[in-house]
Amino acid sequence: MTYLADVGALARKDLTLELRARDTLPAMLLFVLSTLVVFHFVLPSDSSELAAKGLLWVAIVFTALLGLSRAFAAEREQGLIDGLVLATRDRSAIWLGKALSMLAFLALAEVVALPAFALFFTDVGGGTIAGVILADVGICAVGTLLAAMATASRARELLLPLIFLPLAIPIVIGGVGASVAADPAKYLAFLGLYDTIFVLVAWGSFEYVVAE
Amino acid sequence: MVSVEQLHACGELLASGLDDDVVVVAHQAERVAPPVVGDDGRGEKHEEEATVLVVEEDRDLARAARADVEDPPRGELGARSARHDATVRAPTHDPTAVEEQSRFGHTRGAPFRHGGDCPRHVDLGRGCADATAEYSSDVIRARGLEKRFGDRRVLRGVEFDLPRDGFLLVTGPNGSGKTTLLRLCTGLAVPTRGELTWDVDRRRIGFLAHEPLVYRELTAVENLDLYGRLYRIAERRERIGMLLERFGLWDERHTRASSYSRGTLQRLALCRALLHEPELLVLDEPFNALDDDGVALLERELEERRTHSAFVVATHDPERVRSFATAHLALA
Repeated sequence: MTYLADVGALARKDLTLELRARDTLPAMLLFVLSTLVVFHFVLPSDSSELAAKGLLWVAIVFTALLGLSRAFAAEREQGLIDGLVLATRDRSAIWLGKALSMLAFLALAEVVALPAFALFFTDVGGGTIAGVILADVGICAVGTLLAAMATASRARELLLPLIFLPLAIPIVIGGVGASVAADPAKYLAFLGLYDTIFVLVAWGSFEYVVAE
Repeated sequence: MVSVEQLHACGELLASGLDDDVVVVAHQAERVAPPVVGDDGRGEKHEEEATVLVVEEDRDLARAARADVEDPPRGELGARSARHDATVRAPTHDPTAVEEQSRFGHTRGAPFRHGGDCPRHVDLGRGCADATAEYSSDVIRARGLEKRFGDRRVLRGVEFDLPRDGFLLVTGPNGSGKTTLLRLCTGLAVPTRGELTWDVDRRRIGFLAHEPLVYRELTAVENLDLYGRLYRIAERRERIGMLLERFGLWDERHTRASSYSRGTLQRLALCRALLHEPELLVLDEPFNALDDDGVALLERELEERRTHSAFVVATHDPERVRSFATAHLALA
């Protein structure tokens, strides 16, 4: 329970910071909307649903990447990660708190993005929504870990996309599959497996990411 | 900055007939080591700037230390003033010699010797046999610490023991490794070589860094509440209120830290560092940006906590804390 209390305090802090600074969520919302608008004009009118769903996932992944690049901005700019590392009993609480706040931002961006997608392209089915929910967990778990790793690097803006996008390929495969397949169950199961594995990996390895 | 010639001169002075008198060594005003001839990692010997260690002790304490050395009262050692308990070792000509020495047994209480390949250290009055018993009371023990960033060596051969009520003053010019040493002491950095052991929980360390380590978009209360929750402080609200009041931040407690002046941020950073009643306080330039009131407040805090906390303090203004210090480590 105390671990969850730490996670709750850290996630609440991130949400409060975002509420006041507003430097991540508005950017994510603007990015995902403008991306969908651009895709709307780029995609031929007779293009398939498969192509449209593919573009939805491209927009989701890059929107998440935008948010992740700001995930540890406050900690990096003000050296705050040192204070958190010293204060937390289990350092993975820092990762989990950050991942939960990123999940909230991404979910909010998608609450706007999915209706916009339905408006511009085609209907969003239950498979797509389930796929998006499962993909969000994986994106935030892996992305937060990689964002913490990239934070320690001087070329962090370059490094994060380079290490995140290859690991996001299975998410895109599972997400697009769940969106367009007649029976999305196996794709959703694949996303669930991905989430389980990478949540455990990220949870177990964060300790070493923030250690020198 | 001490010149190489001065370092040699001091070394000569120490070498003259002080071999067996630890106490005389202890109350010399300053100790410095000669330039270190080291290995640059490619097998080439070269002369480099030495890490300079300075140990200070007043004459009364040195006299008391002499008595302890001559006839160490075993039962009283633990109760002796903390001012005797700091041990600082100078770098050795051969870093491996220090490591071997700490691995195969300590040399505390051994006579101070100069020259040769022997590690040079000053023991301020602890007998060898009883020092072993006191090891467990040390909050930090450092042996042969070395820290490199790539090819650049920042620290080399640093050794010290910090007892529970000890106060280690760290001085040195910019770039001498003070902040690096402090980060090593908190466990936020890992030494490249050497051994650093703590007898304190990581969460019982209070760290005042260059940065205040507070979120600028949160208020003073919110920042302290976050850390209070993470440290799981009982009666968190009362403790936060007391610290805010004490450090003159009560009226600004609901103001975001982004609008604080540098001095106010430093006060808030001090509140954060002291919030969980740390057993070890690691302070990097604690007087930075503080006005006269702030300095007086901090000095009062240091005075009050002297008896139940250990301190490692790096400062460019050593006179402010010299009266608290039990040992002085000067890096060059």
